[in-house]
Amino acid sequence: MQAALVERARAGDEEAFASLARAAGDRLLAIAYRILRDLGLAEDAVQQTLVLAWRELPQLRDVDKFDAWIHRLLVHACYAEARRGRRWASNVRVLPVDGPTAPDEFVTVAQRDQLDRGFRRLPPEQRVVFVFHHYVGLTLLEIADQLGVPLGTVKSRLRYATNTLRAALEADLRSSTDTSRERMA
Amino acid sequence: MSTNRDFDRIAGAWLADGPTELADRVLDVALEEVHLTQQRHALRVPWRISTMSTQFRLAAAAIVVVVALGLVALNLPRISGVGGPSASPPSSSPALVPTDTPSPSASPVAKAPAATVAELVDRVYAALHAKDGAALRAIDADDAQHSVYYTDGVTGSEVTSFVATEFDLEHDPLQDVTRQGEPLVVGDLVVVPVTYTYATEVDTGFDMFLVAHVTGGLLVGEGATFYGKPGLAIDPNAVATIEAETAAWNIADTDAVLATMTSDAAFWEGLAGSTRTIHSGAGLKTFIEESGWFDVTITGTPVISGVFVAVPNRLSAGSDTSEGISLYDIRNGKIALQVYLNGTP
Repeated sequence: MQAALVERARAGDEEAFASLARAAGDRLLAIAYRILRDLGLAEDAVQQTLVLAWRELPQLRDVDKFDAWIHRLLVHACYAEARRGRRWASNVRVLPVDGPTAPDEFVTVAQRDQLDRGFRRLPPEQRVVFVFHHYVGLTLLEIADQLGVPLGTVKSRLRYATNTLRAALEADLRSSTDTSRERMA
Repeated sequence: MSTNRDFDRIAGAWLADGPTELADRVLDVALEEVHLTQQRHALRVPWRISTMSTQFRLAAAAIVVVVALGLVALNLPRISGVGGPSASPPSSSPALVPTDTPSPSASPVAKAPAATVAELVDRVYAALHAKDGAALRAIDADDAQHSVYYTDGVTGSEVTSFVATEFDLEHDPLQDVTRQGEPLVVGDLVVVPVTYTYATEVDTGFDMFLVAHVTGGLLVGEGATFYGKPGLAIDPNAVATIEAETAAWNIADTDAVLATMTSDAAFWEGLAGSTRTIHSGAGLKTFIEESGWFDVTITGTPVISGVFVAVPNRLSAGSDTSEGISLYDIRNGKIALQVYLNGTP
């Protein structure tokens, strides 16, 4: 079904492309937001991705690799947004007024805050690998294939990202422990 | 947070939190822009052949399936970073048949995808054997590029690269093609030991190609042909060299890996065109260092054809595994060329 749509879109059928865009839009937005941590930047990245996908679609050789291909376009759009937008590099963070949209009993507000802060310190390349692995659920080899980089590079990016975020969480844990000790004293 | 599992759970829950729906206004703006944007169509002209004179085009086309001789005599430029100096021209060259026939791409042939990889392989060699260019183009993906690598036993280099459907098989001096054994097949990757016969010589080596999935079946995607100067024998230490290299990878010892390679060694990831990356020189060391995370296991019997060795293998890193094939050109106990492709991306 999707392959047929891709073939039609590749041949210039705008309706077929619109169907593909509607089907992929939510997923692309979800991924872009998690990489950029900014809804406005994520929406811009998705728009760029869709327009670029339309323009470059005749270059896609294997219609069955459409999803991987558009993910790669999205990643490059996110890199561009990251360079263009200064907001995500800022240390200023807007705390959610209404709290998390999907509360999870395993993640405390403090942990979310530390993860947000730690994540914003990561370069975009490390963010992408972290999101593709922990959110999209791709294996490291799949990520290497989608991004077109060596497996070793993917592993090192994930390792650095994980170490940074673990350190952020552990700092939060130490801080909580110290506060408790102070209270007990 | 005491374990990796705790971290994964916390990270997963944190990432799950956030928007998951694209606003209609964003999609509408994108589609409006799409309506105003022209698609960029693929170039049908082979990037390397297109820069050549007609005479050179004919010569280059003549080697799609590895016609060593005439080609090298024309001193086609080598790709920088691959192998050593340009291959020396063989002394005898088959006559290239001049033609005014328009390029095959001028009259596109309807595609006829194969149902299985085995059928696709059979059809490739049946078309070559019959010198049926239309049949070959019917199973070649439109933009699939093909490169040709040649070694004279001292140096090696890519001698040309072109779009497969541009190949003028009817005017190629090829006399026959013989498969030298069953193809190695790993997922979408096919490696075939072959011999190409011309009036003045017989060339032995491998064809290697990736299967392209299209609606209706399978076509030949990017490919490459590897052959050596006639009369060259396989290096007697070839398999031992490969085993030493594999052992060095598995202890992540970059210097030990490099010690199994010639000073001008090249590592190809991919076969041709923009999907291929070539690591050589200082870049090769960096590539090995960055790739030292995974283990390599040889999973099948090495296959030898001409001076080349093809080895099925598995890369693994933790629970991630990947099946593929490495192809080697080995000289004097050192790896001069390693080509690796993952068959099941």
